[in-house]
Amino acid sequence: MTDLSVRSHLSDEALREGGGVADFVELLKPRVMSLVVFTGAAGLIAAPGEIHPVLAAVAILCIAVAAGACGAINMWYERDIDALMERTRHRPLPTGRVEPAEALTLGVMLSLFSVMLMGLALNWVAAALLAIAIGFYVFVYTVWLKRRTPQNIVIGGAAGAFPPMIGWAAATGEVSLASMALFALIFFWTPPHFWALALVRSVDYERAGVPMLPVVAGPRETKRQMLLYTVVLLPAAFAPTLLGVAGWVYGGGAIALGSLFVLAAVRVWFDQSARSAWAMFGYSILYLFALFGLLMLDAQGGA
Amino acid sequence: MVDRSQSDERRRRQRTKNLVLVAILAAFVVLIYVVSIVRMSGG
Repeated sequence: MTDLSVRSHLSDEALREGGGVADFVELLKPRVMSLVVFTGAAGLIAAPGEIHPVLAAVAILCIAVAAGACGAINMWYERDIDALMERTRHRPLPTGRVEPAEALTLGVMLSLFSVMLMGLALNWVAAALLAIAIGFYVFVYTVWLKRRTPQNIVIGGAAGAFPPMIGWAAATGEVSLASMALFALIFFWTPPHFWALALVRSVDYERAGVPMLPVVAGPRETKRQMLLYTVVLLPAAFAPTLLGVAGWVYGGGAIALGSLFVLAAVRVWFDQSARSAWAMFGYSILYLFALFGLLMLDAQGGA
Repeated sequence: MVDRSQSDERRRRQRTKNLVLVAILAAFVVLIYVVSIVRMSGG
């Protein structure tokens, strides 16, 4: 990672003024954080048993802070390729508004804070899962896989699948088959979600040298695998109903929303333009919010 | 003139950052206090 090459285009003004509070907030990737918090809260609410509202809020805070920490460390490590991509070149590090050391320090401090607080306030099973999720995202996904294999987001996607499991563990102190089903749901959702974006931004990824599937295997193979994952996701999303975690309102919603997701993938398969892929990316976010929203509304406290 | 306004702007940003940091630290102290009370009351 060469700071000199990254910073060659920076304005003197940006370097002189330093980052504002908004830049540090941007390092935490608030939009990604919202999805992580939502799925984590769903895991916590769907879990059996009672939890004090203050402790539930602390658990969600810990998940949010850990997600932010991952974002900051990820931006620190990827500042060289972020500068090359249209989508990311305006971030605080490539533009020089925040120093790399500041971003790394923020990320590490928040990681330690979130894990320690989760352990002390809730339980150490949830804290251990949180630490594993952070470590997986930083070391396995960001450092090891992202620049090496087109399967980066398949394996690395596991990091994003942890939040409902962490929420569940925060409430119960254990890992169960039901919480693993919630993990599997996000795990199978992640590839079609990211590949839809990668299809639209493949030029960007190619320029940055990131071996995303559309860059390495081409759009046809990417669309085939996206369709495959949406089909596998259909029964995976229904599993919480079978396991007694959620009722039939959720189950019906999972089938309806999942069928639409498969249809979106079929549309991408036949469409040569990027328009349907972009629409599928948008729908994938809506799908996860809606599904976990239904899970919270229809939680049965089972399993 | 330009240098002075830039210096003022930098000072203002630094002050905002310091105030946010103080607020975060205060919130952290309150949080630990509340969590301790809840845990001690068997929550």
